[in-house]
Amino acid sequence: MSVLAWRRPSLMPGFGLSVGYTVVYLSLIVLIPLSAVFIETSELGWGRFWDTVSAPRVVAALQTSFGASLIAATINAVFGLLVAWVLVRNPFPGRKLIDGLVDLPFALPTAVAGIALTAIYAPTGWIGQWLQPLGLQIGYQPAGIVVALIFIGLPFVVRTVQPILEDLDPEFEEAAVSLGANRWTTFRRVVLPELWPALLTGYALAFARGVGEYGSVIFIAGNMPMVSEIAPLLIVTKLEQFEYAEATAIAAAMLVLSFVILLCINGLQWWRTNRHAA
Amino acid sequence: MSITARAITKRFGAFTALDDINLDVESGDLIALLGPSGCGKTTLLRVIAGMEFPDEGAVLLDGEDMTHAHIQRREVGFVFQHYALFRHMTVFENVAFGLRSRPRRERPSEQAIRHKVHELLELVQLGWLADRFPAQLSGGQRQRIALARALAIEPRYLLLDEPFGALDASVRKELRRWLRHLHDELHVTSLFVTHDQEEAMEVASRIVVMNKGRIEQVGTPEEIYDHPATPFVSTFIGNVNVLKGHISNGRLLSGDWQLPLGEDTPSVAKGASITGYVRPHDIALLRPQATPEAAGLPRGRVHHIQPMGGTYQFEIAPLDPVELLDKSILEVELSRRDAAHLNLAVGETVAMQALTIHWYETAVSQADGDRQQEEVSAETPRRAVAT
Repeated sequence: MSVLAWRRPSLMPGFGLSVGYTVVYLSLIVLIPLSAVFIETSELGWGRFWDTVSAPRVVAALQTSFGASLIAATINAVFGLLVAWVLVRNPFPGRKLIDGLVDLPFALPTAVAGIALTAIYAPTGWIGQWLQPLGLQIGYQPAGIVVALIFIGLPFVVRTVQPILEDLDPEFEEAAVSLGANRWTTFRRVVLPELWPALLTGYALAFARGVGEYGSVIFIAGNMPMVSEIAPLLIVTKLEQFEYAEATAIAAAMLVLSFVILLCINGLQWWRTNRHAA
Repeated sequence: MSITARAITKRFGAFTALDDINLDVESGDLIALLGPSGCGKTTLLRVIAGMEFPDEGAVLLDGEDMTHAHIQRREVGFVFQHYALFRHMTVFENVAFGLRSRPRRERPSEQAIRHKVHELLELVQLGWLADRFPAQLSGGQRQRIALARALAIEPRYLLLDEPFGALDASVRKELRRWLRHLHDELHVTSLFVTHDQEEAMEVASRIVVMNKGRIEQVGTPEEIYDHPATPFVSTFIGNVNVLKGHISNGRLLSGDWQLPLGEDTPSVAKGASITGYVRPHDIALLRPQATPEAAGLPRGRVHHIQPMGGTYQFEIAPLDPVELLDKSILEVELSRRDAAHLNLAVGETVAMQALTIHWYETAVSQADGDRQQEEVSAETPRRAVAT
């Protein structure tokens, strides 16, 4: 059977060329570097790999990284949706300015963001000093990691939900209201189902970014082993001690975990979309 | 369940969408809002529904002032041009939406909802589609589901925005008839917006013709067609040939055409200029030598013959003076039988007789210096009928 048996007749030219290009490009940029991680890790063998990955300090770091990312992505999904909603539906003076501000976490060097957040949330910082007497400490605590990841991840949710919301015909809401639904019912039963796919994409992106984030987190986290140390920092620490195989082992564990979680999110999205398709 | 609009004006920025609209709709009526796009018909519908609020004027529903009332107090069922069905809900869930969205105290039991929804789906003859999603339906089916959904809340008024606009011709024709039957069954006061005059004539008991934010005429389909109140209605409803002419000795003269003015025509200044409107089927064609009268009629040459099924359309280039406005070709429509009887061919000469002309006095203003600007006065619609 020909290799191109699954190729459907199409009027669009360059099928072979474009597929070939895509595969080569993705291989060079994504696949080969990632497989290098696993090849390097394989030097360890299963036993030492497992010892490295299941060390209490590594497990704690992985927990911190993934836990903080999930919490931050969830918070971002809720408040990012709110920001997108306000930007699309409530034309207020200065909206363009706020709209531009949303992209800032993309552009700002993450170290700058980390230092700025630390200055604010440290126990002596602008906000930190008021939270301290209340028994709340954000800087140098896992909570600080979450704050940094919320900052970094916000644009992902806003920018994925915003265009969908802009395209959403107000007729759907008008129809719901004319049928007697109140604002909350209209939002919950008519608007939100339309936004789910975009919201999940934004959630996934914010989460993925959070897991890999390094620069902004290490300043505010305090980096106490077993408490507020993130996995990427642990990898860097291992590298500095020339334990390359151990470093890639942690990286491989992170990759697999991220892949599984993203797969779940995509599956959820696929399920939601396909339920109503023709 | 009457609807009254009183002096409604609505502006969007510098654009006046509705300009002093006054309208009375009686309980149980089926009304068409007809006009070209941008004439304000959809805006008027949305103002009545409570989706837009007028800058001036009042909306009265059943005598009660509802100008600023929330849409839910008005008890209207609204059907959107593009259906606005909820994509992620089944047909059943769509129709049940209104009932399930009621406050808990007023919400019927799940069983009552089920019963009601199935009853409505039977009414729109789509009971077998209850478990489908909107994406799986045809356009005509979606529109009927949208209607069932609007009827579920038992509205006192049914408002439809271009209900058949997005459908193809055969489905549209079927749905029109179906909507009229449904209205006969339910007797809900209904308003629908359309830009299709045929649709308005076929479905509505009364037609509201709108243009540029104003109401031009309100009447039954017959009144609108046979007694257009303004030049706009004359040209917008049906095809029409536009003529120039004047009044002389109780007769209407346009080129070689002469028509006696009716008895009831009030005196018009002798020599007054007029603009006349003749429908293609209000012109008779004769062989020039057929009768003595035919010899005196203006003649023309057959330019093109278009069979349209039941009728034949003739394009005729006048040979004797007929003062046509804008065009050099006269459109004439004959029944199939008359056309067969005459048996004309392209290039032959025929005599033409205008049977009915609607005319309006032409007011002449000299606002633009030397260039005379002629305006058709809308206040004096007249009819001249050949005896």
